[in-house]
Amino acid sequence: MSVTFNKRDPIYLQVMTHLKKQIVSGELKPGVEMPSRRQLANQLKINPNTVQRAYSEMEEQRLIFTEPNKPSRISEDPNVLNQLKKEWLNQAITRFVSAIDPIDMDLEDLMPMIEQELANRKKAQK
Amino acid sequence: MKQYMKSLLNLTAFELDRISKFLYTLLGVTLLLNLIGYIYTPMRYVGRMNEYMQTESVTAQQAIERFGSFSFYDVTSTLWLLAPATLGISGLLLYSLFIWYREWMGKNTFAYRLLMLPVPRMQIFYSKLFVIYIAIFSLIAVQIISLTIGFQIVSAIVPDDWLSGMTLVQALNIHPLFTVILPVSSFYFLSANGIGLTFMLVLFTVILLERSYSFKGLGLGIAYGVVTVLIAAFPVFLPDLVQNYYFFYDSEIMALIIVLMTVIGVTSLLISRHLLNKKITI
Amino acid sequence: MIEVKDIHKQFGRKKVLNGVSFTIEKGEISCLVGVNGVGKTTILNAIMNLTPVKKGSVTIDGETLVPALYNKIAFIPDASISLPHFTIQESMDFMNDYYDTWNARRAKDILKFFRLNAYDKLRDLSKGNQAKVNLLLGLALDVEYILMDEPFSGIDIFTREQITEVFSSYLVEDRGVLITTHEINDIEHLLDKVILLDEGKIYKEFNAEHMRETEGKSVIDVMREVYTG
Repeated sequence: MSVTFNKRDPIYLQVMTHLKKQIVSGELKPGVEMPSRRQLANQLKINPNTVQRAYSEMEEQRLIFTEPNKPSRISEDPNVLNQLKKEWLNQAITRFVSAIDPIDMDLEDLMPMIEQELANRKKAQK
Repeated sequence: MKQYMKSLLNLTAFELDRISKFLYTLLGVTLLLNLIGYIYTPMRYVGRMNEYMQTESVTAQQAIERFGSFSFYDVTSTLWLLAPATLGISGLLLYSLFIWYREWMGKNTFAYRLLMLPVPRMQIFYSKLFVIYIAIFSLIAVQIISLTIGFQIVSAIVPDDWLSGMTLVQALNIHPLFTVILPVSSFYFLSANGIGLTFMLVLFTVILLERSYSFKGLGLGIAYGVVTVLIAAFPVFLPDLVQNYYFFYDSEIMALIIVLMTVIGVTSLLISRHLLNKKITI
Repeated sequence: MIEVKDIHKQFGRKKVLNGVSFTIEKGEISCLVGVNGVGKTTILNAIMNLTPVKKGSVTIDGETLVPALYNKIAFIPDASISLPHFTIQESMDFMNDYYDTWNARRAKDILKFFRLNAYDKLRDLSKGNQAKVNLLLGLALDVEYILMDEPFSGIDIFTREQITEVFSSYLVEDRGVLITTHEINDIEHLLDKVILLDEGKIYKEFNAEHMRETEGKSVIDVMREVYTG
């Protein structure tokens, strides 16, 4: 696992985005144990304090939870997870729309293109 | 205390290991050259005697009158013995500088490691001093053993009648160098050692001054060295100063020298400790 | 906490440190950055009592440094600090003889991590491997503070990567780490605190993550402002 961080955004936010992506994609399943702060820092080759910060923020957003003396786990609360997916999607759509905004195009024309791209991706993944 | 002794012993053993090659070389050279001296010098004498007796058809007695009888001093006064002894002294003197400066030499600045050991820094000083002394006494011991064996070799090579009958101790007593550096006369030996130890303490202090203040330190160090010599030698000139050669007994002057040298030694230790603890620079 | 308070240092007429103060916290990786000059190494030497300072003071958890504290604070200089004719094993044994905090088990781990052979002589090692041995000898001490002088200088890129990995590993976790460097590019995201040194003074001291969050600037951005602006 390797993530390229950009230098101007807070690393903890970039770590959160990385983890959120893994949650929405199902790579990190609900209830699954998170790596320790040190393990993740070592994997991502970043400062353990930064991971700590990311974990506390995610705990605050109830995306992960920690019982005393146990590793943190991914939330099992469906409301929280659905909320996260919605958020992720909203962000993606906002970005997408603003990206195609300069080109004047109807949704009907766009749909087949999006479908085509999705199909391509699925094929590539196989 | 136990911890203190342990690290001091460790450091001394470590320094001993580092000097060992050099020391073995000095000891080896001494033994080898001495051995040549013990064999070659009497053989040459015996050869000359025989040749003289043969060519001139004279008796051994007449030959001895011509060449003199052979004594062990004839061996100890040759370069075969003087050279390695001088080499040993000057070698250890140079090593006393090297033992410090090696830590700062090249790109391997071992001074970092030594100065960052969790032991009182004076232990570095003591370990280096001890090792110089171990080397000095090794050389002395080996020289004594060498001379004892050498005396036997010489006695075996030269016919008894041709020997002067001088004992080993007599031969050493009249020797300008060995009588001082070997424990032949306790007075000379103790003086040499007392002066030697004070000298080493002053030398180490000068080195540490240089290491602490570089050029300025070298100047300070040389000044310190000159002042200590003047102080130590001062009692010798005391009778001249008071213009009364009977005012002090020799023993009083002696005692004064010992006291002053002790003061110099202790002062040097205190200065060195201060420099090592507070002023030394990597 | 290491507290450096108003230290001054002069070499001949040249003022190298001109009232430098900062603190190093446990559990943080701090980086002393300066584009040129001798100031950085001098500061580390001063902290370790390896060079006297004219004015000011350094305390480690409130205490002035005495030799016993070398069991608590380690320094990894940018020079080999073992003997060239020693093997790595002999260098480690030497440490073991003197330091209460020498952790032989961890030393073995680091040896494996760096893929070093304990029976190689130091003088036969490449420059990168010598740097690794230096790190090994410092990191295997169970100390609370570690200072490293230019751990990335003059070594190949792969050694660099390996050494970078050390900073996010358990080897430095919970310790107070201070490194000096003149090129920060590869390690920006590893740092907590950045201390910018220029002309013998601290120009700026900041938390890297905080800087990114509040001003959207990378460490290099800030350096650029300070050194070229």
